[in-house]
Amino acid sequence: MASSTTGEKKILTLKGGDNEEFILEESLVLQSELLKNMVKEERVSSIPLPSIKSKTLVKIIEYLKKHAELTPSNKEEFKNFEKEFVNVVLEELLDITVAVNYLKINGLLEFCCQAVADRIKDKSVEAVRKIFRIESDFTPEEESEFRKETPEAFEGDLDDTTN
Amino acid sequence: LSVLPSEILYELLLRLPVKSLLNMRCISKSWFALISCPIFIKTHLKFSTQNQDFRCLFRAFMRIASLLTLALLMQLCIKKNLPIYLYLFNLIFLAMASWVGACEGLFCFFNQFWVLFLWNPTIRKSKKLPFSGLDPHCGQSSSCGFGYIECQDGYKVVDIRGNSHGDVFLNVFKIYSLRSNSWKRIQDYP
Repeated sequence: MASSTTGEKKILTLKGGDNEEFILEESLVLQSELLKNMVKEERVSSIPLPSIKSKTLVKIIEYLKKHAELTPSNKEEFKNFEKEFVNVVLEELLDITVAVNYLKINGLLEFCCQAVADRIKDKSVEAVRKIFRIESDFTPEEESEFRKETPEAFEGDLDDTTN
Repeated sequence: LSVLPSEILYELLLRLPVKSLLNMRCISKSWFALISCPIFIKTHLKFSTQNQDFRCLFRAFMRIASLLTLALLMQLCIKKNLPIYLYLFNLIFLAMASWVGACEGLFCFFNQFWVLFLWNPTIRKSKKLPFSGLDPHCGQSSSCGFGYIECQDGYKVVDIRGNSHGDVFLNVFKIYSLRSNSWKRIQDYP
């Protein structure tokens, strides 16, 4: 199916996880390596993204629009926008990061990873385990060994809330 | 969020400071394996030294360290009523002789008994090097160097002693490799 054309701009529809549709210019989605390949190979006009929540998709599209408007003169403004962009609850930031990784938007992925790293760097081991839903697979002996060797790892920021 | 994709985990860990990485080894076996992996450690070092802040911090640290030693020495000689020049002389000696070199976050220096040490300040670990076999007190000239060789992926320390034998002045070269933890004598150089 050929993509629909209005004037000279090609229009593309993205379908979020809850079937909500987002109509945007094709040039915007080309920032995503994954969508770029899809558009190029199959000439599609609608792309379903069932693994991405609509809320997350809204945020990502907001970024794509801002990034497309980036010029040397509004660099400062864009930096402020980026800072605000990751200033969301941790759960949402993780959703965005996973989606951006899937869509392969490289610049944004690096920025999101740095933001997540900054959020977890001072957290205690227990908190990080809870945030990423990781069960310890160490034996109780190994676990107590760690507690003896690096007690500070278990004394950091205990806050494990992601919202 | 169900499971964190492994490529994101990798990118995430690359961006954590060494201090938190050491703590995060306790998360699970797979995190421990990833953080302890030599390839990861190398990539992390490259990634963090790309950051200009790191280098500035490093330089600032060196400057503060030398100022602190100076202040301490001054205090000492005022307390003990000893001539300041003696301590200044000592300090210059310390500054000239004890720091062999610093490279990629590792420091190499020797203590007052001429024993060489490697020191990694970020993980607060140091390693005493084996004796090079070259007597530090004999030899009319001596020199030491420390560096990293990219193609061999290893840290090396070079110890050079010069001695005159009759009319001929001979330099003895010994190279220490951190990888094999041993010294090797290489061809003498006149």
